[in-house]
Amino acid sequence: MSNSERIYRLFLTLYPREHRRHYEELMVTHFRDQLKEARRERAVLHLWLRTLIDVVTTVPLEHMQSAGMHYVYPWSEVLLAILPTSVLLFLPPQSDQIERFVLLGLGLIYLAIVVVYRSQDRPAAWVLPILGLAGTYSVFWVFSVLLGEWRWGGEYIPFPLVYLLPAGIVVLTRSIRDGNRLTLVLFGILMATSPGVYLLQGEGSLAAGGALEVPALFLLAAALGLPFASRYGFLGTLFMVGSAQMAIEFTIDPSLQIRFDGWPRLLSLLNLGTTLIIIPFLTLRARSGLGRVLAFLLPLATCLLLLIVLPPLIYTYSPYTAGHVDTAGLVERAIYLTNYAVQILVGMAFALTLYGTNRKDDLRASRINN
Amino acid sequence: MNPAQSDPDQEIPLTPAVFHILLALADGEKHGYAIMKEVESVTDGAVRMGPGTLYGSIKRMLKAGMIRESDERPDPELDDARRRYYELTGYGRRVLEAEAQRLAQAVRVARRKNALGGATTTGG
Repeated sequence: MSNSERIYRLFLTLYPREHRRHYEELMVTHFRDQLKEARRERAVLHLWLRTLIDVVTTVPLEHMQSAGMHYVYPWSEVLLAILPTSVLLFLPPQSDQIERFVLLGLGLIYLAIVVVYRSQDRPAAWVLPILGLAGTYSVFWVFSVLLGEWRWGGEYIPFPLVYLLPAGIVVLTRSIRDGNRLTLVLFGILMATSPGVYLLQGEGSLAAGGALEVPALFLLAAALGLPFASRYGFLGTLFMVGSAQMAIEFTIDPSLQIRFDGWPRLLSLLNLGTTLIIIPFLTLRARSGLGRVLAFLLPLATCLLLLIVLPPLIYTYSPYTAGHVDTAGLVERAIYLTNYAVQILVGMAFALTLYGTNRKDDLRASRINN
Repeated sequence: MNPAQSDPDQEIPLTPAVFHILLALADGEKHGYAIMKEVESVTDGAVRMGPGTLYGSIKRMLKAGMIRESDERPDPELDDARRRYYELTGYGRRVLEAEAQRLAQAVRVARRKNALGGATTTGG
Protein backbone atom coordinates (compact mmCIF):
# COMPACT_ATOMS: atom_id res chain seq x y z
CA MET A 1 0.00 0.00 0.00
CA SER A 2 1.47 3.38 -1.01
CA ASN A 3 1.69 6.37 1.29
CA SER A 4 -0.87 8.23 -0.85
CA GLU A 5 -3.33 5.38 -0.39
CA ARG A 6 -2.72 5.35 3.37
CA ILE A 7 -3.41 9.08 3.55
CA TYR A 8 -6.53 8.70 1.42
CA ARG A 9 -7.79 5.96 3.74
CA LEU A 10 -7.33 8.39 6.62
CA PHE A 11 -9.47 10.96 4.82
CA LEU A 12 -12.15 8.34 4.28
CA THR A 13 -12.62 8.05 8.04
CA LEU A 14 -14.28 11.48 7.84
CA TYR A 15 -17.27 9.99 5.98
CA PRO A 16 -20.28 8.57 7.85
CA ARG A 17 -19.84 4.98 9.01
CA GLU A 18 -22.70 3.69 6.87
CA HIS A 19 -21.25 5.28 3.74
CA ARG A 20 -17.83 3.79 4.48
CA ARG A 21 -19.27 0.36 5.03
CA HIS A 22 -20.68 0.29 1.50
CA TYR A 23 -18.19 2.35 -0.48
CA GLU A 24 -14.82 2.54 1.29
CA GLU A 25 -13.12 -0.23 -0.67
CA LEU A 26 -14.64 0.93 -3.95
CA MET A 27 -13.42 4.48 -3.31
CA VAL A 28 -9.94 3.27 -2.45
CA THR A 29 -9.82 1.16 -5.61
CA HIS A 30 -10.99 4.18 -7.59
CA PHE A 31 -8.32 6.39 -6.01
CA ARG A 32 -5.66 3.73 -6.67
CA ASP A 33 -6.58 3.70 -10.36
CA GLN A 34 -6.41 7.48 -10.49
CA LEU A 35 -3.06 7.42 -8.72
CA LYS A 36 -1.57 4.98 -11.25
CA GLU A 37 -2.67 7.19 -14.09
CA ALA A 38 -1.45 10.36 -12.35
CA ARG A 39 1.99 8.80 -11.83
CA ARG A 40 2.23 7.96 -15.51
CA GLU A 41 1.33 11.56 -16.37
CA ARG A 42 3.45 13.04 -13.53
CA ALA A 43 0.34 14.75 -12.17
CA VAL A 44 0.17 13.36 -8.63
CA LEU A 45 0.05 16.82 -7.07
CA HIS A 46 -2.84 17.76 -9.30
CA LEU A 47 -4.65 14.57 -8.35
CA TRP A 48 -4.24 15.35 -4.65
CA LEU A 49 -5.59 18.85 -5.14
CA ARG A 50 -8.69 17.48 -6.87
CA THR A 51 -9.06 14.75 -4.26
CA LEU A 52 -8.89 17.22 -1.37
CA ILE A 53 -11.60 19.36 -2.98
CA ASP A 54 -13.65 16.20 -3.52
CA VAL A 55 -13.32 15.19 0.14
CA VAL A 56 -14.04 18.67 1.52
CA THR A 57 -17.18 19.08 -0.59
CA THR A 58 -18.62 15.59 -0.20
CA VAL A 59 -17.98 14.81 3.49
CA PRO A 60 -20.48 17.40 4.82
CA LEU A 61 -23.00 16.39 2.16
CA GLU A 62 -22.84 12.72 3.15
CA HIS A 63 -23.21 13.61 6.82
CA MET A 64 -26.20 15.81 6.10
CA GLN A 65 -27.86 13.14 4.05
CA SER A 66 -27.06 10.32 6.44
CA ALA A 67 -29.55 11.88 8.88
CA GLY A 68 -32.43 11.53 6.42
CA MET A 69 -32.69 12.01 2.72
CA HIS A 70 -34.94 14.31 0.74
CA TYR A 71 -36.70 15.89 3.67
CA VAL A 72 -37.46 19.57 3.14
CA TYR A 73 -39.65 21.49 5.53
CA PRO A 74 -42.83 22.85 3.97
CA TRP A 75 -42.96 26.62 3.60
CA SER A 76 -45.98 26.84 5.89
CA GLU A 77 -43.82 25.61 8.77
CA VAL A 78 -40.99 27.91 7.79
CA LEU A 79 -43.30 30.93 7.76
CA LEU A 80 -44.54 30.01 11.21
CA ALA A 81 -40.99 29.82 12.45
CA ILE A 82 -40.04 33.13 10.89
CA LEU A 83 -42.96 35.02 12.37
CA PRO A 84 -41.46 35.71 15.81
CA THR A 85 -38.17 36.56 14.16
CA SER A 86 -39.85 39.08 11.90
CA VAL A 87 -41.32 40.78 14.94
CA LEU A 88 -37.85 40.93 16.46
CA LEU A 89 -36.25 42.39 13.37
CA PHE A 90 -38.84 45.11 12.82
CA LEU A 91 -39.01 46.36 16.37
CA PRO A 92 -38.99 50.11 16.87
CA PRO A 93 -35.65 51.35 18.26
CA GLN A 94 -35.17 50.70 21.94
CA SER A 95 -34.09 53.28 24.41
CA ASP A 96 -30.98 51.27 25.10
CA GLN A 97 -28.84 50.48 22.12
CA ILE A 98 -27.46 47.33 23.76
CA GLU A 99 -30.90 45.80 23.98
CA ARG A 100 -31.47 46.60 20.35
CA PHE A 101 -28.35 44.65 19.39
CA VAL A 102 -29.22 41.78 21.67
CA LEU A 103 -32.69 41.39 20.22
CA LEU A 104 -31.34 41.72 16.71
CA GLY A 105 -28.75 39.05 17.45
CA LEU A 106 -31.40 36.66 18.74
CA GLY A 107 -33.51 37.30 15.68
CA LEU A 108 -30.63 36.65 13.34
CA ILE A 109 -29.85 33.36 15.08
CA TYR A 110 -33.45 32.22 14.67
CA LEU A 111 -33.34 33.21 11.02
CA ALA A 112 -30.03 31.47 10.41
CA ILE A 113 -31.32 28.22 11.88
CA VAL A 114 -34.45 28.36 9.77
CA VAL A 115 -32.55 29.21 6.60
CA VAL A 116 -30.07 26.40 7.18
CA TYR A 117 -32.88 23.93 7.70
CA ARG A 118 -34.89 25.08 4.73
CA SER A 119 -31.97 25.15 2.35
CA GLN A 120 -30.66 21.70 3.15
CA ASP A 121 -31.93 18.24 3.27
CA ARG A 122 -32.26 17.53 6.96
CA PRO A 123 -28.77 18.12 8.39
CA ALA A 124 -27.12 15.69 10.75
CA ALA A 125 -27.75 16.33 14.41
CA TRP A 126 -24.10 16.96 15.15
CA VAL A 127 -24.24 20.10 13.00
CA LEU A 128 -26.57 21.86 15.40
CA PRO A 129 -24.57 22.06 18.63
CA ILE A 130 -21.68 23.37 16.57
CA LEU A 131 -24.00 25.90 14.97
CA GLY A 132 -25.32 26.89 18.38
CA LEU A 133 -21.88 27.23 19.90
CA ALA A 134 -20.57 29.20 16.94
CA GLY A 135 -23.69 31.38 17.06
CA THR A 136 -23.28 32.08 20.75
CA TYR A 137 -19.65 33.05 20.53
CA SER A 138 -20.29 35.09 17.39
CA VAL A 139 -22.90 37.08 19.26
CA PHE A 140 -20.48 37.54 22.15
CA TRP A 141 -17.75 38.67 19.83
CA VAL A 142 -19.86 41.02 17.72
CA PHE A 143 -21.39 42.69 20.74
CA SER A 144 -18.04 42.97 22.44
CA VAL A 145 -16.63 44.76 19.44
CA LEU A 146 -19.68 46.94 18.95
CA LEU A 147 -19.81 47.94 22.57
CA GLY A 148 -16.09 48.46 22.85
CA GLU A 149 -15.89 46.08 25.78
CA TRP A 150 -14.17 42.77 26.00
CA ARG A 151 -16.24 40.24 27.89
CA TRP A 152 -14.51 36.99 27.00
CA GLY A 153 -12.66 36.65 30.25
CA GLY A 154 -13.38 34.61 33.35
CA GLU A 155 -16.74 33.06 33.80
CA TYR A 156 -18.20 33.99 30.44
CA ILE A 157 -16.28 31.55 28.26
CA PRO A 158 -17.65 28.29 29.72
CA PHE A 159 -21.15 29.70 30.07
CA PRO A 160 -22.52 28.61 26.68
CA LEU A 161 -20.87 25.22 27.05
CA VAL A 162 -23.07 24.48 30.06
CA TYR A 163 -26.12 24.95 27.94
CA LEU A 164 -24.87 22.56 25.31
CA LEU A 165 -25.12 19.68 27.76
CA PRO A 166 -28.67 18.66 26.85
CA ALA A 167 -27.82 18.90 23.17
CA GLY A 168 -24.80 16.72 23.74
CA ILE A 169 -26.90 14.11 25.51
CA VAL A 170 -29.27 13.96 22.59
CA VAL A 171 -26.59 13.72 19.96
CA LEU A 172 -24.97 10.91 21.88
CA THR A 173 -28.31 9.16 22.24
CA ARG A 174 -28.39 7.90 18.73
CA SER A 175 -31.53 5.84 19.23
CA ILE A 176 -33.76 8.92 19.25
CA ARG A 177 -35.43 9.35 15.91
CA ASP A 178 -33.93 12.05 13.70
CA GLY A 179 -36.77 14.54 13.69
CA ASN A 180 -37.16 14.66 17.42
CA ARG A 181 -33.49 14.51 18.07
CA LEU A 182 -33.14 17.67 16.01
CA THR A 183 -35.99 19.30 17.88
CA LEU A 184 -34.25 18.60 21.10
CA VAL A 185 -30.92 19.81 19.88
CA LEU A 186 -32.65 23.06 19.01
CA PHE A 187 -33.44 23.48 22.65
CA GLY A 188 -29.77 22.99 23.33
CA ILE A 189 -29.05 25.80 20.93
CA LEU A 190 -31.66 28.07 22.43
CA MET A 191 -30.18 27.34 25.80
CA ALA A 192 -26.77 28.10 24.43
CA THR A 193 -27.71 31.36 22.80
CA SER A 194 -30.22 33.04 25.08
CA PRO A 195 -28.19 33.29 28.29
CA GLY A 196 -25.23 34.40 26.27
CA VAL A 197 -27.02 37.46 25.02
CA TYR A 198 -28.54 38.11 28.40
CA LEU A 199 -25.08 38.30 29.84
CA LEU A 200 -24.27 41.04 27.40
CA GLN A 201 -27.07 43.18 28.65
CA GLY A 202 -25.33 43.96 31.87
CA GLU A 203 -23.53 42.43 34.77
CA GLY A 204 -24.59 38.86 34.29
CA SER A 205 -28.01 37.46 33.65
CA LEU A 206 -29.36 38.50 37.01
CA ALA A 207 -28.92 42.21 36.43
CA ALA A 208 -30.73 41.81 33.13
CA GLY A 209 -33.62 40.08 34.80
CA GLY A 210 -32.47 36.76 33.44
CA ALA A 211 -32.10 34.79 36.65
CA LEU A 212 -35.80 34.26 37.04
CA GLU A 213 -36.80 34.86 33.50
CA VAL A 214 -34.48 32.45 31.79
CA PRO A 215 -35.42 29.30 33.72
CA ALA A 216 -39.04 30.35 33.42
CA LEU A 217 -38.53 30.65 29.69
CA PHE A 218 -37.08 27.18 29.44
CA LEU A 219 -39.79 25.70 31.58
CA LEU A 220 -42.24 27.23 29.16
CA ALA A 221 -40.22 25.99 26.23
CA ALA A 222 -40.19 22.49 27.64
CA ALA A 223 -43.90 22.62 28.37
CA LEU A 224 -44.54 23.78 24.84
CA GLY A 225 -42.09 21.38 23.35
CA LEU A 226 -43.27 18.21 25.03
CA PRO A 227 -46.62 17.95 23.29
CA PHE A 228 -45.54 19.64 20.09
CA ALA A 229 -42.12 18.30 19.31
CA SER A 230 -43.07 14.79 18.31
CA ARG A 231 -46.34 15.83 16.68
CA TYR A 232 -45.60 18.99 14.78
CA GLY A 233 -41.94 18.88 14.03
CA PHE A 234 -38.97 21.05 14.56
CA LEU A 235 -40.14 24.30 13.02
CA GLY A 236 -43.54 24.22 14.63
CA THR A 237 -41.80 23.92 17.96
CA LEU A 238 -39.39 26.66 17.04
CA PHE A 239 -42.33 28.92 16.38
CA MET A 240 -43.87 28.13 19.73
CA VAL A 241 -40.65 28.75 21.59
CA GLY A 242 -40.01 31.93 19.66
CA SER A 243 -43.48 33.21 20.38
CA ALA A 244 -43.20 32.35 24.03
CA GLN A 245 -39.88 34.11 24.30
CA MET A 246 -41.30 37.19 22.60
CA ALA A 247 -44.28 37.17 24.91
CA ILE A 248 -42.02 37.10 27.92
CA GLU A 249 -39.57 39.65 26.57
CA PHE A 250 -42.22 42.28 26.07
CA THR A 251 -44.50 41.69 28.94
CA ILE A 252 -42.77 40.72 32.12
CA ASP A 253 -39.15 41.75 31.74
CA PRO A 254 -38.75 45.01 33.65
CA SER A 255 -35.21 45.59 32.43
CA LEU A 256 -36.43 46.18 28.91
CA GLN A 257 -38.73 48.94 30.16
CA ILE A 258 -41.05 48.55 27.26
CA ARG A 259 -44.02 47.04 29.00
CA PHE A 260 -47.41 48.21 27.89
CA ASP A 261 -46.24 51.28 26.04
CA GLY A 262 -47.32 51.98 22.47
CA TRP A 263 -45.95 49.69 19.76
CA PRO A 264 -44.19 47.21 22.03
CA ARG A 265 -47.38 46.64 23.89
CA LEU A 266 -49.23 45.98 20.65
CA LEU A 267 -46.50 43.64 19.42
CA SER A 268 -46.47 41.89 22.71
CA LEU A 269 -50.20 41.33 22.72
CA LEU A 270 -50.11 40.32 19.06
CA ASN A 271 -47.46 37.74 19.79
CA LEU A 272 -49.18 36.37 22.81
CA GLY A 273 -52.47 36.26 20.94
CA THR A 274 -50.88 34.39 18.07
CA THR A 275 -49.44 31.89 20.50
CA LEU A 276 -52.74 31.34 22.17
CA ILE A 277 -54.53 31.03 18.83
CA ILE A 278 -51.99 28.65 17.41
CA ILE A 279 -52.15 26.40 20.46
CA PRO A 280 -55.83 25.50 20.00
CA PHE A 281 -55.28 25.15 16.26
CA LEU A 282 -52.52 22.64 16.76
CA THR A 283 -54.46 20.97 19.52
CA LEU A 284 -57.08 19.99 17.00
CA ARG A 285 -54.41 18.20 15.01
CA ALA A 286 -53.08 16.15 17.93
CA ARG A 287 -53.43 12.42 17.44
CA SER A 288 -54.43 11.24 20.89
CA GLY A 289 -56.84 12.53 23.53
CA LEU A 290 -54.03 12.96 26.03
CA GLY A 291 -51.98 14.76 23.39
CA ARG A 292 -54.83 17.22 22.86
CA VAL A 293 -55.19 17.89 26.55
CA LEU A 294 -51.46 18.42 26.98
CA ALA A 295 -51.16 20.49 23.85
CA PHE A 296 -53.83 22.84 25.03
CA LEU A 297 -53.48 23.00 28.77
CA LEU A 298 -49.77 22.94 29.37
CA PRO A 299 -48.73 25.94 27.29
CA LEU A 300 -51.81 27.86 28.25
CA ALA A 301 -51.31 27.23 31.94
CA THR A 302 -47.65 28.09 31.67
CA CYS A 303 -48.36 31.30 29.80
CA LEU A 304 -50.95 32.35 32.31
CA LEU A 305 -48.68 31.49 35.19
CA LEU A 306 -45.82 33.45 33.74
CA LEU A 307 -47.83 36.42 32.66
CA ILE A 308 -50.23 36.82 35.55
CA VAL A 309 -49.05 35.03 38.66
CA LEU A 310 -45.29 35.31 38.55
CA PRO A 311 -44.67 38.99 37.78
CA PRO A 312 -46.24 40.32 40.98
CA LEU A 313 -44.35 37.68 42.96
CA ILE A 314 -41.14 38.61 41.25
CA TYR A 315 -41.59 42.29 41.92
CA THR A 316 -42.61 41.71 45.52
CA TYR A 317 -40.23 39.06 46.72
CA SER A 318 -37.31 38.86 44.35
CA PRO A 319 -34.03 40.64 45.09
CA TYR A 320 -34.30 42.66 41.94
CA THR A 321 -37.04 45.18 41.65
CA ALA A 322 -35.77 47.83 39.27
CA GLY A 323 -33.25 45.89 37.27
CA HIS A 324 -30.57 46.27 39.94
CA VAL A 325 -29.34 43.68 42.40
CA ASP A 326 -26.70 43.18 44.95
CA THR A 327 -24.49 40.92 42.88
CA ALA A 328 -22.38 39.94 45.86
CA GLY A 329 -25.28 38.74 47.96
CA LEU A 330 -26.03 35.18 48.98
CA VAL A 331 -29.52 35.36 47.54
CA GLU A 332 -28.12 36.40 44.20
CA ARG A 333 -25.71 33.48 44.20
CA ALA A 334 -28.44 31.05 45.15
CA ILE A 335 -30.65 32.25 42.34
CA TYR A 336 -27.73 32.21 39.96
CA LEU A 337 -26.94 28.56 40.76
CA THR A 338 -30.59 27.61 40.66
CA ASN A 339 -30.70 29.17 37.23
CA TYR A 340 -27.99 26.81 36.02
CA ALA A 341 -29.51 23.78 37.70
CA VAL A 342 -33.04 24.38 36.47
CA GLN A 343 -32.00 24.86 32.90
CA ILE A 344 -29.85 21.76 32.82
CA LEU A 345 -32.52 19.67 34.54
CA VAL A 346 -35.20 20.92 32.19
CA GLY A 347 -33.08 20.05 29.21
CA MET A 348 -32.32 16.59 30.52
CA ALA A 349 -35.90 15.90 31.51
CA PHE A 350 -37.00 17.01 28.10
CA ALA A 351 -34.47 14.70 26.48
CA LEU A 352 -35.57 11.73 28.55
CA THR A 353 -39.25 12.39 27.92
CA LEU A 354 -38.78 12.63 24.19
CA TYR A 355 -36.64 9.55 24.29
CA GLY A 356 -39.43 7.65 26.02
CA THR A 357 -42.03 8.97 23.58
CA ASN A 358 -39.95 7.93 20.64
CA ARG A 359 -39.28 4.49 22.03
CA LYS A 360 -43.01 3.97 22.33
CA ASP A 361 -43.58 5.30 18.81
CA ASP A 362 -40.86 3.06 17.43
CA LEU A 363 -42.25 0.02 19.21
CA ARG A 364 -45.71 0.82 17.88
CA ALA A 365 -44.32 1.27 14.36
CA SER A 366 -42.42 -2.00 14.49
CA ARG A 367 -45.56 -3.82 15.67
CA ILE A 368 -47.48 -2.34 12.73
CA ASN A 369 -44.73 -3.29 10.28
CA ASN A 370 -44.64 -6.83 11.60
CA MET B 1 -43.46 4.19 -4.32
CA ASN B 2 -42.12 1.74 -6.89
CA PRO B 3 -39.63 3.68 -9.10
CA ALA B 4 -41.08 2.00 -12.18
CA GLN B 5 -44.37 3.81 -11.51
CA SER B 6 -42.76 7.14 -10.54
CA ASP B 7 -42.83 10.24 -12.67
CA PRO B 8 -39.30 10.88 -13.99
CA ASP B 9 -40.02 14.62 -14.03
CA GLN B 10 -39.81 14.66 -10.24
CA GLU B 11 -36.05 14.02 -10.55
CA ILE B 12 -35.55 16.88 -13.01
CA PRO B 13 -33.33 18.92 -13.18
CA LEU B 14 -30.48 16.50 -12.50
CA THR B 15 -27.14 17.51 -11.07
CA PRO B 16 -24.35 17.43 -13.66
CA ALA B 17 -22.78 14.41 -11.93
CA VAL B 18 -25.98 12.37 -12.02
CA PHE B 19 -26.71 13.31 -15.63
CA HIS B 20 -23.25 12.30 -16.78
CA ILE B 21 -23.35 9.02 -14.88
CA LEU B 22 -26.68 8.17 -16.51
CA LEU B 23 -25.25 9.10 -19.91
CA ALA B 24 -22.19 6.95 -19.30
CA LEU B 25 -24.37 3.96 -18.49
CA ALA B 26 -26.71 4.50 -21.45
CA ASP B 27 -24.71 2.19 -23.70
CA GLY B 28 -24.09 -0.57 -21.20
CA GLU B 29 -22.99 -1.47 -17.71
CA LYS B 30 -19.79 -0.07 -16.27
CA HIS B 31 -17.87 0.00 -13.00
CA GLY B 32 -17.08 3.23 -11.11
CA TYR B 33 -13.70 3.99 -12.61
CA ALA B 34 -14.92 3.28 -16.16
CA ILE B 35 -17.83 5.67 -15.57
CA MET B 36 -15.41 8.38 -14.47
CA LYS B 37 -13.18 7.81 -17.51
CA GLU B 38 -16.14 7.94 -19.87
CA VAL B 39 -17.42 11.19 -18.33
CA GLU B 40 -13.94 12.70 -18.52
CA SER B 41 -13.64 11.65 -22.13
CA VAL B 42 -17.00 12.92 -23.42
CA THR B 43 -16.59 16.28 -21.64
CA ASP B 44 -12.98 16.73 -22.80
CA GLY B 45 -11.84 16.68 -19.19
CA ALA B 46 -14.24 19.44 -18.10
CA VAL B 47 -16.06 17.12 -15.67
CA ARG B 48 -13.76 15.08 -13.45
CA MET B 49 -15.45 13.20 -10.66
CA GLY B 50 -13.52 12.19 -7.60
CA PRO B 51 -14.45 9.06 -5.65
CA GLY B 52 -16.52 11.06 -3.14
CA THR B 53 -18.67 12.71 -5.81
CA LEU B 54 -18.99 9.54 -7.87
CA TYR B 55 -19.98 7.13 -5.11
CA GLY B 56 -22.13 9.72 -3.33
CA SER B 57 -24.09 10.17 -6.57
CA ILE B 58 -24.22 6.42 -7.18
CA LYS B 59 -25.61 5.88 -3.68
CA ARG B 60 -28.42 8.38 -4.25
CA MET B 61 -29.16 6.99 -7.72
CA LEU B 62 -29.39 3.45 -6.36
CA LYS B 63 -31.79 4.67 -3.69
CA ALA B 64 -33.89 6.53 -6.26
CA GLY B 65 -34.01 3.40 -8.44
CA MET B 66 -32.27 4.99 -11.44
CA ILE B 67 -29.49 2.41 -11.54
CA ARG B 68 -28.84 -1.04 -10.08
CA GLU B 69 -25.79 -3.11 -9.32
CA SER B 70 -25.38 -5.72 -11.97
CA ASP B 71 -22.47 -7.85 -10.86
CA GLU B 72 -19.09 -7.88 -9.16
CA ARG B 73 -16.12 -9.19 -11.08
CA PRO B 74 -12.55 -8.21 -12.06
CA ASP B 75 -11.86 -5.78 -14.91
CA PRO B 76 -9.35 -7.60 -17.16
CA GLU B 77 -8.07 -4.27 -18.54
CA LEU B 78 -7.04 -2.89 -15.15
CA ASP B 79 -6.00 -5.36 -12.50
CA ASP B 80 -7.48 -8.18 -10.57
CA ALA B 81 -9.32 -6.07 -7.98
CA ARG B 82 -12.99 -6.97 -7.88
CA ARG B 83 -15.22 -4.17 -9.14
CA ARG B 84 -18.89 -3.48 -8.79
CA TYR B 85 -20.76 -2.89 -12.04
CA TYR B 86 -23.79 -0.65 -12.47
CA GLU B 87 -26.49 -0.53 -15.12
CA LEU B 88 -29.46 1.69 -15.92
CA THR B 89 -32.94 0.67 -14.81
CA GLY B 90 -36.01 1.40 -16.94
CA TYR B 91 -36.80 4.29 -14.63
CA GLY B 92 -33.23 5.61 -14.94
CA ARG B 93 -33.53 5.55 -18.72
CA ARG B 94 -36.79 7.51 -18.55
CA VAL B 95 -35.17 10.07 -16.24
CA LEU B 96 -32.24 10.40 -18.65
CA GLU B 97 -34.59 10.91 -21.59
CA ALA B 98 -36.60 13.52 -19.68
CA GLU B 99 -33.47 15.46 -18.74
CA ALA B 100 -32.03 15.21 -22.25
CA GLN B 101 -35.29 16.55 -23.68
CA ARG B 102 -35.25 19.42 -21.18
CA LEU B 103 -31.70 20.32 -22.17
CA ALA B 104 -32.51 19.95 -25.89
CA GLN B 105 -35.42 22.33 -25.44
CA ALA B 106 -33.12 24.83 -23.73
CA VAL B 107 -30.63 24.53 -26.59
CA ARG B 108 -33.42 25.12 -29.14
CA VAL B 109 -34.42 28.30 -27.35
CA ALA B 110 -30.80 29.40 -27.08
CA ARG B 111 -30.28 28.81 -30.79
CA ARG B 112 -33.42 30.76 -31.68
CA LYS B 113 -32.12 33.69 -29.63
CA ASN B 114 -28.60 33.39 -31.09
CA ALA B 115 -27.28 32.74 -27.59
CA LEU B 116 -24.95 29.89 -28.54
CA GLY B 117 -22.15 32.23 -29.58
CA GLY B 118 -19.53 30.49 -31.69
CA ALA B 119 -20.69 27.00 -30.69
CA THR B 120 -21.19 24.64 -33.60
CA THR B 121 -24.53 22.87 -33.52
CA THR B 122 -26.08 20.22 -35.65
CA GLY B 123 -29.60 19.06 -36.26
CA GLY B 124 -32.66 20.95 -36.26
